Amino acid sequence: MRGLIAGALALGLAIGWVIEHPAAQGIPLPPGKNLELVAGRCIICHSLETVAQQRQDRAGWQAIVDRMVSYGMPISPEEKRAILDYLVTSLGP
Amino acid sequence: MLLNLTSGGTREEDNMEHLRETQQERDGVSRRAFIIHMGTAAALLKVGTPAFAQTPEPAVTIPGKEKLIVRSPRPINLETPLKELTSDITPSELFFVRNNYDGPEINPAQYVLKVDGEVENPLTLKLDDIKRMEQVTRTITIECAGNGRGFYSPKASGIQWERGAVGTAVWTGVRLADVLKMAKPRPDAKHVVPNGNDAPPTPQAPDFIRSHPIWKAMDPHTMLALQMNGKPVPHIHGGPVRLLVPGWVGSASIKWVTQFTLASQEFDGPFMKRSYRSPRLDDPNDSYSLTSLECKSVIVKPLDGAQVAEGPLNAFGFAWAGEGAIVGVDVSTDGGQSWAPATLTGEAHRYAWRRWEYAWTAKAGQHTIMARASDSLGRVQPASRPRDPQGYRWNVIHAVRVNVV
Repeated sequence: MRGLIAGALALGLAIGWVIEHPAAQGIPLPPGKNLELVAGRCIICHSLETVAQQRQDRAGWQAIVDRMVSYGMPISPEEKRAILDYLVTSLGP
Repeated sequence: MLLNLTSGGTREEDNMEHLRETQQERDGVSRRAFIIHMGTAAALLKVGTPAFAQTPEPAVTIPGKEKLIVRSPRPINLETPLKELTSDITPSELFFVRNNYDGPEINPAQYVLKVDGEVENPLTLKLDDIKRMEQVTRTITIECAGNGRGFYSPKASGIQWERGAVGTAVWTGVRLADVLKMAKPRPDAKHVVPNGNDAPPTPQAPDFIRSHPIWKAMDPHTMLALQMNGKPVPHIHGGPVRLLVPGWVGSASIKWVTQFTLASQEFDGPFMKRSYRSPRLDDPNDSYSLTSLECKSVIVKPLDGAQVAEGPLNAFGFAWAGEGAIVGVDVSTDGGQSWAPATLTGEAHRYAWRRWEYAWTAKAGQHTIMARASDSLGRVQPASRPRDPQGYRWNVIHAVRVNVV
């Protein structure tokens, strides 16, 4: 039983490591909370390299995300907040 | 006090007025009084290592363009490394690629060009019809409006180009004027609206459309290119028919062009009204739609950070100025304390860059080389420039560090 728990813990850590290291998944964006949401929505229209080379403050990212929504990016208001938080935190000025 | 030479002029001429306004840049520099201090030299050098270098390198390469830097794979945006920008004519495989949107390949046999709007005689032309018209060949430099955006601090949003979103090719095709004359523009036709075969990824995203005034369309240098460097214009460069509006920002030169609509007004879309605009010097709260390229130069040899042997070194690079003509390039090898003219070599084409060369005897030690272009409109490259909100118009003097051993 202890072996199973230890094994599950190790597996969980390993999966966590993969999720925390986007390079391992081939996502060309820095790590951060809600990375997968950001990657999944942005990539609908353009490559993620376009996002990764930007550095903006909150006002700058707000304007960009608003424009992307007007261009048809399909996100709910909660998702928009989560995406904005990632961008400001991981791709801030 | 800025001169206004266009009282009563048309809006189009007001745009061109900015070429004269930049002669009186806010830093108040005149060519004779131009002095660069060591501190400024240091500031110029700092911009060579932008902070975004920490972004991981994309793992993709684009077939046929392996030597180019992938700024983005979708849409394709590729930059020419400075070390590849060595020849007067940029080989097609080294030519930079810029796209707002990718476009599907066009079968040349099915290609059709329409001319409509304010014309007496709407046209539908096939590729063979265009090939049968009188052909012209022109050497033209294209530069992206955002070339150099990566050097602005704080960062402006957009592709973070450095120095290599520029290239020069030999283009063969027809004058746009010859096509438009066949359509017989009406007196109301004041603007030309080209449309290309690219398409935005969603129905809500705006089509990439930028108009230009009819006087520029009718200039004999404005052309529809069928060949680039002696071969049919590659798809990646906008073939089979690529519009060239020479001397203007690259976004005027619509790729995969399939339609020209003549109109009484400038096109009312976001790529005219929101982007490709820069603050006016006389009223920074107002903006103008970008037209001519800036007065600008690059140093191709030596490269920044080069280690070279003592002795003779033939420095060179290129200079260009949009609607202006390059009249000189001054070079400094001592971080801006003294300047001497470089020699302009190669052929002089109305809308192509000039090669400049400077023979330097390199002595041991660290040196900062700078190149400063001047043009026929009175513009001179500045030592610094105010931040442009969208990262356009970067033309600060290029400075490279060399270690001579």
